[in-house]
Amino acid sequence: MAGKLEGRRILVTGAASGMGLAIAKLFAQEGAMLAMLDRNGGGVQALASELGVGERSAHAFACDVSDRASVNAVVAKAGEALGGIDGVINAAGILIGKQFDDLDPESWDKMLAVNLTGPYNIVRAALPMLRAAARATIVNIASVGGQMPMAGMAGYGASKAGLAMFTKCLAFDLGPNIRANTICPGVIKTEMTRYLWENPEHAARAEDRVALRRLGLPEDVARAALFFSTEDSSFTTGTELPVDGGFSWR
Amino acid sequence: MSVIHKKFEAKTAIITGAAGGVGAALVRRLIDEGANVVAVDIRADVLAESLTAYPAERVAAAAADISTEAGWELCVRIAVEQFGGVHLLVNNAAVLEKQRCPIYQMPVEEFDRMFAINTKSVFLGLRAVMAQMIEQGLGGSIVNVASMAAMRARATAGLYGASKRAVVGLSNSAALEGGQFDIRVNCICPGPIDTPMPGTIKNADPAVIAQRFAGRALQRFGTPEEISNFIVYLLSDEASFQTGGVYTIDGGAIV
Repeated sequence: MAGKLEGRRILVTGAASGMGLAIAKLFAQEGAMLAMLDRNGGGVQALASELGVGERSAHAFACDVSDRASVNAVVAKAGEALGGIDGVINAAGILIGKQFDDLDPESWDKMLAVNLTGPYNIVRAALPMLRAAARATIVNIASVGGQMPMAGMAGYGASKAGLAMFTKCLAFDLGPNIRANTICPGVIKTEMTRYLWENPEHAARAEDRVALRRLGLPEDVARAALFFSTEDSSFTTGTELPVDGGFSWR
Repeated sequence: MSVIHKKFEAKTAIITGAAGGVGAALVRRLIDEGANVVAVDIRADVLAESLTAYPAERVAAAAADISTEAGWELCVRIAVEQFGGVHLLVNNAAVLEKQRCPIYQMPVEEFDRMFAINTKSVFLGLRAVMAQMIEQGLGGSIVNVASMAAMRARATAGLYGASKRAVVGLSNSAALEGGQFDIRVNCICPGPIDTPMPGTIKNADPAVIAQRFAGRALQRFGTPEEISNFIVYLLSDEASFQTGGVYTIDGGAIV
């Protein structure tokens, strides 16, 4: 049976670690041709060597998504390497948790630049190729932090809430041929959340707040990204999919 | 080869409203993916007709009134006696108003009818099936079908919207309660779907339909298959960290 993404050309940001890495690996297994971007150029190069085996096509590019000129150049090269782009996954993101009193302008600017302007830069650069594709998909990785308020998360929460609404509007502006959806992960075990799950007390508290009584894994998010990138979700656009073990407050 | 294939081998699903548009698409898809199915619908003849294509050892018909405890006892008993248990549930059966009118003109009996079929049936289904799943000790996955009417009010459709919003509430609480038993519970809110369900927008004037879809992202009806695809995803281990979710599947209708 062919992979669910056989022949699809997908660009993934933040591919060197965490959720982006899990997405890249799963998508490769499902037959996608990949362009993997990360500011950790060495990391994505190593991944490309691992994934680009046999007939699989995997290309790596060093890229800071907050640097618009770099994004424009890299996305053009990625499109050339793949022969077009059918889907984008914006998984690159940073978290600087600070109570508002300590939330300095540099931290605010950096989170907005990577988490919100970064996806804008990527989608804008890829848009001509997405428009040329038969059925294109955009999946943006936001956060439950963008759906519910949490102490110390004003900057992060604002950037992720902004990303979710940006994605909903994209669904309207770019439909019907391009679908755009948001995934809102809960607490997922990655480097970004190490401060939380490495501390037994914090980890226990996080697990306690979740109906499924465990932290999430990057693979949980990867499967959701796969769903949004295939025709299994063909009538779904402009929606938010929490992958949080039953965490969000509704 | 897809890593995600034959998701439901050795599992049994109970699906209500199984003879309708989305229900029939679900039965087909779940059987394709390896599940045994208890197909539930109050319309016995239509139900029997809809199942003739499937092997008898994979599907059982339950012509039950799911707004009653006895109806659900029957469904669970069939699942246990014929297939050894139940692992998946889709509360899909529902009705629209017989006639659209404002709340202040709505017959009282219509409230009772709609809430019995749309809301009480979901409560009774969660009650009966979760108890069985807990006894089995194997976890499970449940999807409750609400509606975009639960998320956005419409004049003259107040009862439908309210009955569906209550489904969202039940679903979220059930998710919190089921987590410790590895029972996931999610809720979907479909938009306008191309099904034979009486009273749907599809029966309206084409100009009305075109106007209705103007400004929506995908500008068309959804299909029963598209809704069933989303349900199948949520039922499966692909969504293993998703519970308590409320998902719109509406072609980009709700802002």
